[in-house]
Amino acid sequence: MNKFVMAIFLIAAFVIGMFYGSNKQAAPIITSNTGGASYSGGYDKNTDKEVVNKKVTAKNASTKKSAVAKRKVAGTTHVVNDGESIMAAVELAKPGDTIQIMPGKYHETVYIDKDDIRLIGVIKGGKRATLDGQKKLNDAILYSGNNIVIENLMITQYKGNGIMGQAGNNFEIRNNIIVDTGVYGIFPQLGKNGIVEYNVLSGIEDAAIYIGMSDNIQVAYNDVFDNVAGIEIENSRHAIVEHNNVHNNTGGILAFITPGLPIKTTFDVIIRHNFIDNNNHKNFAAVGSTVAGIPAGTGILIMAADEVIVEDNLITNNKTAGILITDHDNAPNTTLDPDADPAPDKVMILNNLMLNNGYDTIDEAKALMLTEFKQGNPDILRVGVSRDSCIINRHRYVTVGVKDWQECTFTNTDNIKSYILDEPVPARKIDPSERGKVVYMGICAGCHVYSGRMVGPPVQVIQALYMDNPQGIADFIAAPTKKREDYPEMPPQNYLDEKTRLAAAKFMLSVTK
Amino acid sequence: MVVRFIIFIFFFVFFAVHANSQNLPTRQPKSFQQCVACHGDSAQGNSDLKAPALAGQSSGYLHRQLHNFTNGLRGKHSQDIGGQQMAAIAKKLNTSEITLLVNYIATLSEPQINDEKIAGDLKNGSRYYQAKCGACHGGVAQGNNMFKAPRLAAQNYAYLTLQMANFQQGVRGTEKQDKYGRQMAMMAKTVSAKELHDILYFINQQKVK
Repeated sequence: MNKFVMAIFLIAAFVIGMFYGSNKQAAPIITSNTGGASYSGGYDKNTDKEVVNKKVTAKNASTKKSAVAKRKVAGTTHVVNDGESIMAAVELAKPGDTIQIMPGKYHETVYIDKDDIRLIGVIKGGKRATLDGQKKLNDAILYSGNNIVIENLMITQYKGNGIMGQAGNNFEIRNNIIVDTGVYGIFPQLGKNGIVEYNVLSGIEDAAIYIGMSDNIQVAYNDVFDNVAGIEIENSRHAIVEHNNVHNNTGGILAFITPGLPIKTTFDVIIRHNFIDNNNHKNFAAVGSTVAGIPAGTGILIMAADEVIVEDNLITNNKTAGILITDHDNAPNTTLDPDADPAPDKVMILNNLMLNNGYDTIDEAKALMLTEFKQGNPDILRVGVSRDSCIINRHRYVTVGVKDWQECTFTNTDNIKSYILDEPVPARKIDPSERGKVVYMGICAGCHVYSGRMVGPPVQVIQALYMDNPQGIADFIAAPTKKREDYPEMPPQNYLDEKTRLAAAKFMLSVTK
Repeated sequence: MVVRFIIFIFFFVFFAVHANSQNLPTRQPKSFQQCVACHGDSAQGNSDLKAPALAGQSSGYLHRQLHNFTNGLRGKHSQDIGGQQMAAIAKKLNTSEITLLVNYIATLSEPQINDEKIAGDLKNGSRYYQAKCGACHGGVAQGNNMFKAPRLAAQNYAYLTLQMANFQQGVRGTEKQDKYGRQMAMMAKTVSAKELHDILYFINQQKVK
């Protein structure tokens, strides 16, 4: 009998011990970010084949960098007055020239297909040169040249892009105001070494700033609000997103791999010193498109991108979560790409101020919290696979999916001033036989991915529709008509000559991934 | 005053009669009786027979398929049993009978297809539907005449499953002149079994007005 009582007592003592043991938390590891090691970065110019002069050291470089090539000879300055055509001036201009646009209204699409042109709006007493698409025109400014500067313009009421770069290297896009205009606000595609800074962007139905398939990028000091996606770093590497004010978008700052694009990776993205507040805007993207899958209330979204560092941001009042980290499998509206790793690996979350996030989160998040017996509103939410990720001061936040993450071995990114190169990269040389491929990557892939619905229909579907008829594509894209009620209308590509369009069409029909 | 009133009454009656005449149902053509056995008395389709719903389908699509059956672009393959049956019947119809039939079917209301006991992953179905199908068949499977793409919503699961197998296995969409069929066959071959399962579930869940 005594033995029995003893056994009961022992079991009870064990259970009580377990209970207390599990409730007694270990002291959190508190890491100050005023000291400690700095992240060494994921970029080494010595291994970058595109960098010619590797000798220039960062010591000589100013933190206020320029991305375009220095001009050896000052070119001509062309002045465009209200009522005149900007495009006419571009046609006259030679590489090295500057085009000054006086305040006024300009209803046109400007296409720059030469190198080293500076398109500068003149701001006089607060009045700007305004490109107004009147909801009829598709694109405001397209450039395919290298060393392009676009500054001080106001762009509004276009249906497609505000400013789109098409395979141009070394670019600077700054001080522009881009409001209520189409699908992408500022969209450098397939560019290396570029700066996007001091712009105001609002009312864009996909991404306000969309860095696509690019390298060595600086996105800084932009004010980005009332868009579906604020700042998107997509299939790009070595990018810094800092000092931006990103508010009232559906999703604030995004680092993505979009499956089905010809370049399959995103890594080495530093998101630091941004204000990311109240990104709770109703998602107004076309239903079924990639960004339509972003839950309203997402501060930072990291999808499948690797080596993303989140440091010293103020992340506040985002109702779904402050930081959402997902693989492709768990993201809505995303198909899998066998050539792209769907997992966001090596995510590094350093110090951030997080306040009042996740207060009205999605059901999936609530379900995930249950699995960890968590209560409260999630600041950080991780779903799916993520390898070798780390975090410091995790005890500050309500988190799901990061309890097994390691402590980061560094506390800051102070060693990395900029990923802008000390010397610009050479202009992209295009072998005529590669023309179709470059146009496909630099233009088509902005909206069409191989196996998914980004903005336009998937390439696979286009291949089925036009099987053995590349000429059909070449003709259609010169003067597209609206064929799908729930897709945006395609912008005409008639600035490309017939031969180029056909080459791109042929390439598109040959793509297999 | 009285004259005005009379004029008013006259126009009122005239418009009422006129409006009513537009609402009169198109008369059911005799040939429709041949359809009923498989496609149902209001062309709602029949899952057990893998016979598609015709009500709610676009007239252009019905027209084209009836002609395809007639002229041998569809229903010729030895494995296409249902297609062969349909071809045999379609070949007895002349052009004007086809037009009458299609016009009549256009007046029938779309069937409610929600009795199917199928399950699937809606999120996965949605993403692959949008990636593979929606660009032609519409975001909510409503069809798109621009691409001659039929409505898939409110179509029965058994029929869609069979046709996808036909497209994938070279039973349908192989004839040189059947451009739209060949387009569909090419896309069908890119869809895996798991994707298809969820896509069909997604379509099943769509409610088109």
